[in-house]
Amino acid sequence: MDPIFLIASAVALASAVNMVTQRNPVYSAVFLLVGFLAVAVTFLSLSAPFLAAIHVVVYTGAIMVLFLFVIMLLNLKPEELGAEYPIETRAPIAVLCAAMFGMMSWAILSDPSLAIPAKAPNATWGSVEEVGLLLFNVYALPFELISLLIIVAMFGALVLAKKRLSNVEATS
Amino acid sequence: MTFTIYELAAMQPALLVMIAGLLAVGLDTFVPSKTRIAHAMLCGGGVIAAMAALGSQLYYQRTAIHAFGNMLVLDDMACFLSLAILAATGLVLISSDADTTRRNIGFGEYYGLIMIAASAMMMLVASNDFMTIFVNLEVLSLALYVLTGITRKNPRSNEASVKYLVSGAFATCFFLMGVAFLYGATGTFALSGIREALALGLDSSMARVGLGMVMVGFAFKIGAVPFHMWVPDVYEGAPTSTTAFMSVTVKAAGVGALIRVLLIAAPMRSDLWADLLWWMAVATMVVGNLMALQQTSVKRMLAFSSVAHTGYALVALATMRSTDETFVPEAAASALFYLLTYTFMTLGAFSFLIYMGHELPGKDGTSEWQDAETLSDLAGMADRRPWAAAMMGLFLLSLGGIPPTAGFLGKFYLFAGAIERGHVTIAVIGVMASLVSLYYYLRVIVWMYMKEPMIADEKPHPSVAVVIALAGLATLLIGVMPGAFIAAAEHSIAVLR
Repeated sequence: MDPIFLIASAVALASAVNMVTQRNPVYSAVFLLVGFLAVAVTFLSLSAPFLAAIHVVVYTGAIMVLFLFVIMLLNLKPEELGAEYPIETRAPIAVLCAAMFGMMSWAILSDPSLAIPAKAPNATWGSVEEVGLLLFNVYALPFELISLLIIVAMFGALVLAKKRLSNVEATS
Repeated sequence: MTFTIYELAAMQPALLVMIAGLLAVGLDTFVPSKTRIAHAMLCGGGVIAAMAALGSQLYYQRTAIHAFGNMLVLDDMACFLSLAILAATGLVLISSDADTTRRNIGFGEYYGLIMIAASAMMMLVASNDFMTIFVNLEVLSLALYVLTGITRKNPRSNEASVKYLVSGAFATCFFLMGVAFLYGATGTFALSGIREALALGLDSSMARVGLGMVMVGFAFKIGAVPFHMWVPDVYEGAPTSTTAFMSVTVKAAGVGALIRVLLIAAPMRSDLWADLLWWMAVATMVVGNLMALQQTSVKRMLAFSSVAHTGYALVALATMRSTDETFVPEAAASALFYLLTYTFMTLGAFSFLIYMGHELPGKDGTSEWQDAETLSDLAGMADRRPWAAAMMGLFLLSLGGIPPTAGFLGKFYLFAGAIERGHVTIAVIGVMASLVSLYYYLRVIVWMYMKEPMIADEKPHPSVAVVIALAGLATLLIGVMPGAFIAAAEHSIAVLR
């Protein structure tokens, strides 16, 4: 297997574990950032450069900034973080998650046709061009429908967060 | 791959609703927000135009329209469920007149979000590809999260919205992971492509896990046990017209999409999902009814009863594989018919709660609107509001499955079919569960008819009375003349390919 892939996945796993075990939310966020970058590198090593670029732009760029903003705005002190859940609560959840993970890994590993291919089918596979062709041809309808999704999200955020400016609310 | 303009015909009804919704949002800029006539006419016009388009598709066009590389298909099942969704949307538009004025919700945002959610549901039941199913599921969920929390000053509404958002995001993860697994196993998102791949023997462990996770995602959205935890809190916290809207339309859309996935993508693997659905249906009926028994709030009771009714609808899907191991897709018709009956009786029952609302004195001299929620709010209403109380009685008897209402026929058709296919146990459990449900439905009637009134200042809203009357009419009509509706449901499944 590709050594870059191995190293990147090891980094991703280690930072994911660190992310959930850290008490300080800022440390968690930084470990999440490292994890995102490592996942982007695995995408690169699996010849999916477009996905890697998008991953960096959207997750490490936009979503991490959002997380850090929220953490800074809330500005929680250590005593405000609340007590850790007792082990009796955490143990069953951990078992459940492990079972879920085990089931999914079993499903992938027990499938002989899914051994990770060493090389991409052809040179342009996963390139921006290929993804773009698929997106605007085969998946044109879902792509256009996503614009509706974004409108609803934007509009919903406005409705929930706006100041009371509308006449209806102001006169109440 | 090129698309022609004619393929838009497949999404024309949904587009009409969507455009009306988006225009309603923009309308706030041009008309004074004190009047709602323009919004109501625009959205009502959109709903009626879409119904006309669906009607012409059903009665003149007749052949299904496959569009956008078979991602969207406007066939009889899509038309049937879209009409049910549109009927519910139209009724909710009328009754939300009360909610928006009483709670100072902007008309543009409320009507707009409801219309956009309805258009996403119409496209969801017409989706023939996991990509479109997923996007439409997300659009409708997002609109509903906002609608749930739209009364921003009400902490219960905020709590409900956040709970719905978090559990909904969780369900989305399951759904998406399942779709990814199915894609990994079969190399396609198209439902028909997945069926072909499974038929070729690409029946790996990955496909099984994927199918299971997709079903978990659907179970969350339609509120089936054990993924029903969010239902009571969300239904209770949301404004009642939103609750009425989502309790009926999301179930119609979600069960419709599930039927399509099961019948088109995985019909030959019914051995995999039939048992899973069997247990889910039994658990949903039992838990829903037992939890509803303990509620003192009528709104919460109706929320749990909607969980129980999801279970009844799932009985039809679970018994599609008969006990002698033949696959009977026609069985799904009873689920479609049940969803139709459920639409009107639940919508009517929730609308009655809006109708019986009253004002509570709040802090700083203002008054706060409170829909009827507890049994004592409804006590003695038969004397004060005899017609509305009689209608509520009709809805409750229909929910409990008493003839000659629609609910009786829905359940009869459902359980008779299950027994016909050899599934006696689940039918007996279902009938027992609906017997239990009679207790809490009749309790409301007893309070309405046999107690002294405890509230004297209820302020019925005339537009809600219209909704109650129309829903009551539909409940009786389907109960007395079910033939055409059952035939339509059976035809929808028969031509499903």
